Amino acid sequence: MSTVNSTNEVPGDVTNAVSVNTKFANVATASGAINEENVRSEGVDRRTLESYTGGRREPLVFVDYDDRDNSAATVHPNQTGEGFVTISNVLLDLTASPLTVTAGDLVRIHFTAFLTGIDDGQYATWGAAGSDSGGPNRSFNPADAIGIVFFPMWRIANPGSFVPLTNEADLNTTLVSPADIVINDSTDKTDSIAFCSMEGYLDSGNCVSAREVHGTWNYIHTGANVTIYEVNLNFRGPMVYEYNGASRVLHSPIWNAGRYDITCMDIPQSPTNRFGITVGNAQLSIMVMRGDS
Amino acid sequence: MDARLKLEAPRLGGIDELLPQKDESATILENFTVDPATGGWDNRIGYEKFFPGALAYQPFNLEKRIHSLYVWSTHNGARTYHLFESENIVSQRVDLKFTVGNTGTGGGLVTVDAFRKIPTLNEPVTDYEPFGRYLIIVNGHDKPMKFDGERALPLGWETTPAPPTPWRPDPEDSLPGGDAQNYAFVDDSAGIDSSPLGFSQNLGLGYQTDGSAEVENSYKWRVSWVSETGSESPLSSSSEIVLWDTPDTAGGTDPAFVGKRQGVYLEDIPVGPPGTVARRLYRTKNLGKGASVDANASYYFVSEIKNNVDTVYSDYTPDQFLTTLSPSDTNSVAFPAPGARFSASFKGSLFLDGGQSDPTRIYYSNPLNPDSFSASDYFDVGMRDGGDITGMFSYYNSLILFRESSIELVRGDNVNGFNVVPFIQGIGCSAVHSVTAVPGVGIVFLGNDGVYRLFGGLDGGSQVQIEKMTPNLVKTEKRINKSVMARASATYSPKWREWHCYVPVDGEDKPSFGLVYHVDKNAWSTRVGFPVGVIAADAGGELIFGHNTGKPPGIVTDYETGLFVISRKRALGYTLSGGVDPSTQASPPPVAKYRSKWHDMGKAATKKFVKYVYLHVMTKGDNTIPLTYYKDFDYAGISSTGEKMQRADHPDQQVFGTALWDTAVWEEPMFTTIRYPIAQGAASFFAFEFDTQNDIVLVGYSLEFGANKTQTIKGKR
Amino acid sequence: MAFKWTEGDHVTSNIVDATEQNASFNNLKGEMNGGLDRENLPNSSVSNDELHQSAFVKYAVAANMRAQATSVLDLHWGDTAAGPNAFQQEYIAIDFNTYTGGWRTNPAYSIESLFQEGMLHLEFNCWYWLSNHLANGTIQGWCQFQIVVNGTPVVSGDKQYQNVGQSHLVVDIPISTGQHKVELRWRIKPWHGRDMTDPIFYYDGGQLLALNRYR
Repeated sequence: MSTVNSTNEVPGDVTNAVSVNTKFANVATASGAINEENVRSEGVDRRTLESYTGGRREPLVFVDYDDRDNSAATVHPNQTGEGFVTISNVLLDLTASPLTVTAGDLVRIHFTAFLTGIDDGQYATWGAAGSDSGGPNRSFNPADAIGIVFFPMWRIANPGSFVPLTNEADLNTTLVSPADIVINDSTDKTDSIAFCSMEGYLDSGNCVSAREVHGTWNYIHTGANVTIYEVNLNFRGPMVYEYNGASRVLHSPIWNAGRYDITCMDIPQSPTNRFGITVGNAQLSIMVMRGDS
Repeated sequence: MDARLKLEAPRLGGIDELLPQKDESATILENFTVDPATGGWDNRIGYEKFFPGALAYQPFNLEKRIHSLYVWSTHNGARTYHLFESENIVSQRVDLKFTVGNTGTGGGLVTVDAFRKIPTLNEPVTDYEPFGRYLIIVNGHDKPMKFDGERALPLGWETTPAPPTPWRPDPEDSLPGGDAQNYAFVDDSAGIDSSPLGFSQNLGLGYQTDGSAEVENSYKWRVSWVSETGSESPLSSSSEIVLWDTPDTAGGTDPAFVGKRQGVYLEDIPVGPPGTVARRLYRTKNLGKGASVDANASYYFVSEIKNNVDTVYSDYTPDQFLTTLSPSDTNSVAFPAPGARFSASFKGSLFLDGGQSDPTRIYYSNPLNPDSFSASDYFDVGMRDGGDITGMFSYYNSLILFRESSIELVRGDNVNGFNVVPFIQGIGCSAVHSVTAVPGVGIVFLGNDGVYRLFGGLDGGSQVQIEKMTPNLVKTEKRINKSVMARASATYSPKWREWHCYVPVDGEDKPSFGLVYHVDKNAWSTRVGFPVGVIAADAGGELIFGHNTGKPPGIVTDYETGLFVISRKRALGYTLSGGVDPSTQASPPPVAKYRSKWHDMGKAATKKFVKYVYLHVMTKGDNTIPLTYYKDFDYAGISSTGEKMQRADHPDQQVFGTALWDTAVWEEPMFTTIRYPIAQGAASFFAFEFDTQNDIVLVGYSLEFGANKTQTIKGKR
Repeated sequence: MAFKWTEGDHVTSNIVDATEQNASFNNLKGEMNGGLDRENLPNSSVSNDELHQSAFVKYAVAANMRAQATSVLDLHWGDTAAGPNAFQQEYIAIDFNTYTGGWRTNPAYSIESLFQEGMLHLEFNCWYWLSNHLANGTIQGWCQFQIVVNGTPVVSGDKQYQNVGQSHLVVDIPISTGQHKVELRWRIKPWHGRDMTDPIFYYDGGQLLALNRYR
């Protein structure tokens, strides 16, 4: 009982030691159970809340971030979208103190990534060489859905390897072009990706995109606990958003073939059929919160 | 001799120093409060430490005299700040702190502002005024500040922002450098669709042309700061002017740049002082060339930068989007009262005095914005006789301005303007910290020659009136040290239903003597021995005071320091003992002294023979109260034996120390009369007195006396 | 009201006064019964163990948000060798047959919940595809997203012009206690001469987060 119930002493009544002792014991008991019954409204404020020194802190269970610091931009040659690259120097390593996520927790993963550019200087999403080159047949060519896909992955087993986030598409699949990564609305979602355009301007033989994208993933966990050991950031591409007759997909085409051939869109500009992708700075963060949902 | 003459004083009043004294009044009434059950005088008071269970005087370790005290409650009392300024033993300055009830290891203190100036003995101490969610703190020396419970921020804008630095555009990209140097915006010409059909959105600054001729463009910018209170600072001076020509086709200009508008890059956007949350950018419309460049231009609102971090901005807002004129230069000026000593909140504005350097001027802020002041929002009360401003107090529908020898009222509001009207000459108040609102009484203050009350209003047929409350305390008034009246401190306690005013008396430099007005009895008593330097009441009416002396340097025993509370604890403070690990011992209770009026029983010339004094009391137990009785204004009296405060003709009530649990019954005080025999000869005037540290509740008294035809002899030559 | 001082002091040889005893005890009892505040509770004493998980925030996530009223649509490319319409590709997207301009609120995804007075932190993030150019340099398309609370936009992205990209919107608004609805709406440049059946715009991978921080 957190409130104190007692009756007054009445003049004329015999002084009863047990009664008085009980009253004080009642106070002691109530003071041992400090709760909403004895604390006034607005009685708990910042001063009474424990300072955050690490560990769980309602509603913030955990937060951590990393960025590439002053690492130089990294060049990744021969990219086709068939494989993926883990961006170096940006990693959330929780191995020393793994993070346990319980049912009801909200996991928020944020990342930004800066696409410096690609080595296809004449790159244009509707095709190279503009409207007049090679005749009028290409002048009405539309822009295609080409971009670099940035995505995080995590390691939730120890030992174990990095896997896509819960119910996200198989973004780490190794493909042999032409091939697809299927997108659906249940177990192959693309909520966590950031789709970055390579459009830019010609400079010294490169196409300078100079573009930063921001991807997020919010997830209210259900079911058994999950332990997070590491989170990293990756990219693959260029990839193309399409419909393959059955599903939405992220498609890895054979570059310089089909509509990307030299006589059509010429992506990348011949003779090469692969891309050098330059990635600049990147940041990655994770925040786990606990609250009502 | 008829022994049955009786004089009854069934209900007692307060002190009366004028002769002849009123019936039922007292000559001396020290250290009493009113017993709420009977209306009698009850001496069960004392004072105890603010943190009663603390070791020694923890956490007050470095405190000398407490100079100011204010209890500020927010959130319906959930957050209460006991703010005080104490003289720091080490630093020779004053620190502003507040108490923390439970740090985990007992009470604690948090410093809000350190190294503040120690007020001189005769100047008013720090003034605290709630304004919205802030507490305004001014003392005439240190920077005025506003405190929100977490941080203390400067009040007002000390400085004007510096203007930003605009970069001149290079419309033709003619300057060296690899990347494009200009900041051209695509216009809405045929073939290039940049906006949905029907929109005429056309970003960028400067005239847009068809390229057949160059036209000149020029712009200037100004910037202001916005504080978290919503107050806007004065505008900066103008930036330097930025000039460029919208290029034509001549001279081989790249056709992509011909006729285009530009964005302008601004740097050095000034970062505001602490408490700034945003910057506002204002700009002229295109001033073109020639005479219009130098003309006084109107500035318009461009954008609000919603942080206090960015120092750069790209302005591409076209002129047609600029519709809101900037505030005028007089709307907000640099803080005009850095030396303010007093503040008051009235009709949504913050009123401040001009300080020692400008003692007759009153400034008031823009409505609801304590930080911004317009250039003309002040008045000068120096045109009339009355001396410097000594305090301000908001009351009913007026702001009372106290001056050295007059009182004036500020009336009006922000819409219709404020004006000052004189109220009374000849009565002033130097003791601004004695001004208190007392329910049912009015504004009570210690004037230059006594305690006055202001009541009534100026609207609805009412009338403001002033009345002296202490016409009968002439001797006490003369003891007050008028040189240091500014240090008098007063407060009203709704719990005790008393107005307490502590003043320096007998030439002393610090308050030590209490004048207490009991609202229910309309009576005065005094407090002696309470070391009250400053006093304040909290939301519950508890009387909290700061010690008037504190811990002298080098002394380790026999001192008191910190905050204390006037309560029912039967102790007058503490003594310190124990050397290395000192602890406090409660001192004995205060001596309560009651001396009745000088009774002449209606005829001074006739000699009376007082036989008995009956004290009408509530029973208190076995502790005795002796009586001393006097005749004819003699200095020395005759003492009688002490009597127990028990019913004389009944079995004694059970008392602590002898009663046994489970045998004794709970008692309650009972009304009874205690008879004291008086062995005194003939007297024209009779008075009795008791001074005691034992508990007593005196409801009334009666005298039984005889009289014969004996008269006073003739006067001496 | 946290601080309580002596209401009745029991002195040897004074009567065993029930009134004084009651006043002393009830003074403290009254404080225990609903009057304790931060002056009584020790600093930093309320930690995870004392806090209910729902003490501070409530959150809701609408995931997998994507464009509605889409259909399978073709794009065609001309080739200098094979001629016009040499290549085609299907997309799930919208076209100008179904989009006639203006803001479109996503009818399938929203957050409607009972929020408490305080602040509502809203985030939206998705990827989009916009067929933004033709090779002949005519027609510059754009897309734009807004978050709407109870029908009123509270944050708007600027127009975005790239062929693919991310929309990322963040806003904090004060919110009153009650049911509130958070929705997404979007618009693109209205018909500008493209074939009415061309796929023009699609967005997917959208997540809307509503995080209610109690006052």
